[in-house]
Amino acid sequence: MTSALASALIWFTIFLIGHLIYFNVNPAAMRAKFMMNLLLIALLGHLASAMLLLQSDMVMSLLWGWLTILCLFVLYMPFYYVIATSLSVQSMILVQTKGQYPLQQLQEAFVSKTLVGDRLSTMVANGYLVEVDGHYCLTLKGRRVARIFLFFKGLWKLGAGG
Amino acid sequence: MKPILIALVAEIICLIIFTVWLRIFPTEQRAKMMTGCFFAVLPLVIILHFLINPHDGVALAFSVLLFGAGFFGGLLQLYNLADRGFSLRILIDIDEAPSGQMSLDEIMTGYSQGRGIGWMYSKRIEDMKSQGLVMISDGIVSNTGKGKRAAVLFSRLRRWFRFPAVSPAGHT
Repeated sequence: MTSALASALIWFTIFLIGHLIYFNVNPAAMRAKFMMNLLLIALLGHLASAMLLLQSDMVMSLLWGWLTILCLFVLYMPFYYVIATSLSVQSMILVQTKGQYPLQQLQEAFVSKTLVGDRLSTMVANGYLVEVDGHYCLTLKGRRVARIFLFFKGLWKLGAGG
Repeated sequence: MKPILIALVAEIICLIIFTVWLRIFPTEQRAKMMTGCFFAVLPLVIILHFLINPHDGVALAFSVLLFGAGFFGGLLQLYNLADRGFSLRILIDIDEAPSGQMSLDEIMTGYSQGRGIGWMYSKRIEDMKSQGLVMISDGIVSNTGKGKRAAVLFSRLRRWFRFPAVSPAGHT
């Protein structure tokens, strides 16, 4: 199984380097879609490695390798989204550029209609919301997601949050 | 299959422990409590592994990887999204709106059951303060040493990934 794990690590490294290079060459790319495609390539790459190189106990080699790649992916993606979208990270970077920053100006920068409007547009593009005459309604997909998370909020007594 | 089953059992135990804990002893330090739960259950993974599969170190590493990924990439992220997700809170607010729809202005003021978007950002500032990343004096925010290191690191990572520079306009 060591060979299966090694193959998975190599393919995940290819995933990491691949999307970093692609984003540098094409910064305006559809990043999430590209990463999902690259993940699929890594999974297929491990399948090819297992078929060509890992002859003994191929089913388990495949399963271990795929699970390893998926585990590394689910550990990596939250980190990637912190870099990409975290307001806290962006606030610290903005403060760092000037050494210090008035709290009110920070709030104006990050609590703008533009910011919320951009987020709503992304949610419309991803099929969670539809916009009708300046009002936003949930799609079936959006409602399902809202209800699933409402269940967990209730289960763990989290309150409104946000 | 044994490492997968061991990790799955450990994950379920973790989920049950912190669900029961959060329902009986509500706390604000939930992420810390959940992480503590992970490290409390981790020895169980190791013990189970040595009982079932005593001579296979690779299988043990695989079990720990599966358990860690399921916890930090699964359960903890599920909690983070449920408690702090910005987009998710907007979806829930629209779902709970009597008319089933909201305008941009209504979302700005009605976010998180009427607290408003300003509250969302104040909460993040408070979180950064409590984690020792920023300090506020006379309405002026500055990074602590830890905050400076984080800002430099993330700024560099954002450049590597070619994300647009962070600007005071608030959208990047």
